[in-house]
Amino acid sequence: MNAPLPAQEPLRSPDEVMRLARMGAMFPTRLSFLRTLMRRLSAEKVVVTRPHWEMDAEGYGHGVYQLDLGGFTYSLVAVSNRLDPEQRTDRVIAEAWDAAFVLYDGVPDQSEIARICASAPLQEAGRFTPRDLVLSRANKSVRLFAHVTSALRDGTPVDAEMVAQIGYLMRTTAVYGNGKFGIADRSVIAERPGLDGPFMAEMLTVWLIRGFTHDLAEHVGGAALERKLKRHIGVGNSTGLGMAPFLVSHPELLNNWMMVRETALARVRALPRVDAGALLELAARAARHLAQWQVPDAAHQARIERLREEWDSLRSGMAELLDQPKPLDQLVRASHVFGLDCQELVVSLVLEPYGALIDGLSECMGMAAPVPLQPAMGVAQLRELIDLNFHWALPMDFDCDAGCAQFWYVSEEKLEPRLGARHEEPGAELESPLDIGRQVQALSFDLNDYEGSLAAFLRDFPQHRSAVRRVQRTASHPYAEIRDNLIGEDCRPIDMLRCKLSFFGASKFDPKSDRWTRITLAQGAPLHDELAAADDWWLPVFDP
Amino acid sequence: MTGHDWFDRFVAAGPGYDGVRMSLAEVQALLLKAGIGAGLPLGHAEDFSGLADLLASDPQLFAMAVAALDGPHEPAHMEGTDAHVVIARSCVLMTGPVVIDALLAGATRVILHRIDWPLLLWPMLSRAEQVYGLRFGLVSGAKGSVIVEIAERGMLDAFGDVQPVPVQILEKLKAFAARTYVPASEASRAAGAGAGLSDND
Repeated sequence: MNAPLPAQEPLRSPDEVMRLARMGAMFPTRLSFLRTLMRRLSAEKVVVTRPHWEMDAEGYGHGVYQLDLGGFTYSLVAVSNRLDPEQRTDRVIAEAWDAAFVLYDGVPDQSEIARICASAPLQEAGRFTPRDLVLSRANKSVRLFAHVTSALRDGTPVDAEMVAQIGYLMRTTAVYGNGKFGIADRSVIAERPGLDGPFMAEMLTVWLIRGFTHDLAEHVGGAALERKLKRHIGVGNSTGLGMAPFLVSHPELLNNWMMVRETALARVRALPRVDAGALLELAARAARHLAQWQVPDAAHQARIERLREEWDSLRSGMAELLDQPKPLDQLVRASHVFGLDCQELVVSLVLEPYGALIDGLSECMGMAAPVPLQPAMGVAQLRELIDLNFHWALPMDFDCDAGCAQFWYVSEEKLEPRLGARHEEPGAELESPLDIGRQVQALSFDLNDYEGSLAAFLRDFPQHRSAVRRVQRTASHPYAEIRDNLIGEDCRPIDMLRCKLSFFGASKFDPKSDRWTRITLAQGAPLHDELAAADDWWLPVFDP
Repeated sequence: MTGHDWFDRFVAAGPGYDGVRMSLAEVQALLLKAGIGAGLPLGHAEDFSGLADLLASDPQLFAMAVAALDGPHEPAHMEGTDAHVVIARSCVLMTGPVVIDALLAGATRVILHRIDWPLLLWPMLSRAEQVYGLRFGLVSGAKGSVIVEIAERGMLDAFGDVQPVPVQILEKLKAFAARTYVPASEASRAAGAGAGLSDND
């Protein structure tokens, strides 16, 4: 017998949710992948060991971490190298890093460890094997690493203020999965318990790397860091444009992530009564988190400050709101008088206490088989789908300068996605097909007077085949498309990055431009030996 | 002789080729870029990249697919009736998806005259069998024509494991893919990815 589904309010419309500005205001939730992974590791009582540690006094060498999950053994091989400061750049054009990592499928023997120690530092220039599941690299926060190791060596207190300000000893600049550079295809782990969810292998790697950075600092410093400090030291990450096209090229996955998040929200909004105390406590924690979120960028700092004010204002009336019927629905509605940042922080807040109601939804966030083209669909039905799910694109002017001001392309130099100014830079004739709105508008135009079957249309207009597939997909995947002009002058890739990174579980977004950002992952997460208390680290606060 | 010297040399050299082990994700991504670089419409390039595992299981078939990328990629012209379709002359990378569309939309038989690389219909139809659950038959007709029909038994099981990608094929694919890359300029280096130059903090 199947249990009845929980009650839920209507889902927020894709027209509301799938806008760049709102996606760029998202916060991590308990459904974020790192949170899900921590719960899984905790439930399985996973034990992390460190069977190899061969580091010199300065912290150069390698270490291996090992754990069993879902009936499989995984190992992180971490390689620490000396790096000239001039070579330390977070950009993908870098060719050397402070540390390199491989998440290995099984237990590596000495020859495999030696292979990884030789190849991992090469990163993109190396070739890897299907035993290598994830490839990553990281650079030190030189300031914090030097300070922490020096303090440990001297027996003086670690500057908690500096820990709070920086938040990580190393930041990864890429975490590669799914077959890149010869590593294992995603299909190798897609059915494995614990790694079957989206980006689970990558998140496991990041969490193990975080523990490695703690161990490395303690090794070089020759003393143990306070547990409280370690808990607040996460892993930094620099993310640039390379991540942005993912959301466009994986529409089913984007849909599933958003659909789950919206379904979770709809469920909690339907709750007739709630424990106001828990929510008020979490709201207070969020306020302290916001107070500790400082960034150098003036515009973003101003945004954070506005959010702090709005959050305080919302909190002042929160107890009263939570005393009404369907209190979380009331709270979400009340947040609409504030900005998008505040609205999305409310979404994140109201999900947090209701794991029993929503955590199971995380199993629906993975990738099912892609939706295939349906050439037998009627042309009239296709037109209806365009009107329903792409109405936003039809009136757009893609011919004016502003409507097509930017173009996405792949750089010959690094084979990485880039964004160019169409009217100022060469190369627009080679642009990557991220102009989804323009493609569907062109499809709609040619479809208008067409009277044959869709199969015949696809034969006569082969240039629309991809757009037809995208339109058809939205019948079952309404959250599959970003409903904005991705080549317009207002498109800010940072919004796409923040959406994806919030699903990873990132916090403390620190934008360096409108196309790359630093973040912190796993800050506040349990340490390798703290998995028994794994699940209360939403928007962590540092209380030195 | 096929008119593709490298292909003829590749086949004549026999099975002992130099190969590179690649993940399927790498092959798939490369096929998509190569398809676009070769001038296929985006949707057809997507279909082409969806054949990655099947093509990578058979080096000769893979070589044919790469040779077919040379085109020209003209849209297919159909005649006949909705049930019995006739295609007079076509290139397989444009026609294959159209043939499958026709069969899914109700045609029971498609006759193709003068199609280049007819063997490539085999992986295309096999993939369609897997995705749509139909079964197709592929038989030779009169004067070099090929007939595709709805059938009782399918053909997908005939494919084996993925093989290393022959270096010749890889280089050809990279060359097609390179047609989609934009050379770097000072402006793109400075602004294209939007990052700073040094990150010592």
